Amino acid sequence: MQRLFQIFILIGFLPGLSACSVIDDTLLTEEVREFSRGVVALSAIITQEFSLAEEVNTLGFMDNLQFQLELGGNPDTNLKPLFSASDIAARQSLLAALNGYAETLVAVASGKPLSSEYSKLVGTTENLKQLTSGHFNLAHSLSILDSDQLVNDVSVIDRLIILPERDRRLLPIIEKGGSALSKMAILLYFDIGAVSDQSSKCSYTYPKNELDADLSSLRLCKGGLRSIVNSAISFDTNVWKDKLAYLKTQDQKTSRDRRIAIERLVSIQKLGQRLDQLLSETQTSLIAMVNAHDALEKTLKDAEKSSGLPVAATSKSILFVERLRGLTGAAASIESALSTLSVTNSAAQNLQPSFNTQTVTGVNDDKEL
Amino acid sequence: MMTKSYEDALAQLEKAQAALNAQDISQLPAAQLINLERSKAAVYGEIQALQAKQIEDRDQGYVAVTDVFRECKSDLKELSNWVSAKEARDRAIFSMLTKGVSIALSLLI
Repeated sequence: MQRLFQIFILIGFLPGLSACSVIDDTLLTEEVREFSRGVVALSAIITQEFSLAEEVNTLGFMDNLQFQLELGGNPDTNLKPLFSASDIAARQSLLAALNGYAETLVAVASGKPLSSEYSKLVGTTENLKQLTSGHFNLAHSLSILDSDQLVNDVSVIDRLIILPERDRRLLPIIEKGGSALSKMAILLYFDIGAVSDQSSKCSYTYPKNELDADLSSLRLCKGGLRSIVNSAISFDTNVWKDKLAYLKTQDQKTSRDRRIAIERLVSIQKLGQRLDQLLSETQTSLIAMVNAHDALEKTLKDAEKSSGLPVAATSKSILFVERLRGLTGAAASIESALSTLSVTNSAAQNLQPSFNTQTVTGVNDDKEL
Repeated sequence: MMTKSYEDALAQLEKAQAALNAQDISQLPAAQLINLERSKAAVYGEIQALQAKQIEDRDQGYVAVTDVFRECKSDLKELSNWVSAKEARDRAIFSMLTKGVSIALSLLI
């Protein structure tokens, strides 16, 4: 509410600035700061989403393991993480570069010393050079050629950004940085992926996507983090479906046991819907980030032409941050719900202390158990 | 048999998973339910491994990427043999199980 009030104040205040020949430094610094806050928050959410995906995978593994043990089976007890350490490190390098760029903009805009931001940015761009398309989930919607091109564009980001050591003016940095920021956003957008095909071409080839195109025009095929999370949710859901069906066959079933199984079955599906919504809105936020950056560039160009600070540009940065604030809350709430499901896992699984592992039904040819 | 690409294999694994999930398990004896749950976990793990990893050499034919999926061949065969030993009219009850198992086994040949 306070943020919206801020937008209204700015809308009311800014037309008065249009007559000024010089851009208001305080407003500009605040706008860059807002943009940077949004980028840092977005990076944190993406990191959290990969962690949530691992948690959902772990939950499904535990539920399946417990069910197999209750049946008297001898399950594989080794948990397989979804992503390797190097896959996670590749994404961290990308997100660190995004943060480094955003923090550098703040330092330049506020006239602060750049040494620490600059060294961080140089460090992260070195890490980006090690990236390959194999570290990401792009094959669902991009050819190997395009995947390699995209990752290569991102890995040489230092060529696209005029580093502040050479030029401490904000506009040239932002002009060059826009292209790099857009490429990083596209890479993350594809990596988050889609839960179902968004193009009829997906059944036989890749959809036509220009890597320089507006992000909102991208059409993806099923794959990426959203698909991985969907598979993990579906796996756990089916464990509980089977468990519910199994309970029906047990003489000692109680309505309480069935209710617990139903609650778990519903809870995990609802969590899956919320998590996919979060991932989808993260993709929308990547588009908002690129738009806010474009607006920032326009602000600076207009200011150079002495035409004042456009209202739309400023409000885009604020709305970008506002959107991220909502997503941060949603991610925390999902994390908490998932944590509750994991904690109550043992209690919920222990539906029947005297689980009969003899047979599911009257079928009498497997009574050796 | 024609070699499958990794993309085809992923689609086949998802078909196998859907069929196994569609099977009503209330008619399964516990021993076969254990085999089914273990097979489902193995198919799931293989799907996630294929989704999470970008296979660099797509021209190469598909080979199972997880040990668990490779090792579940015996569970799948046991399920297949168990259904085959049934009377024809009983086998119909397990048609989805049969479908899922045969698709999964075809990827492990």
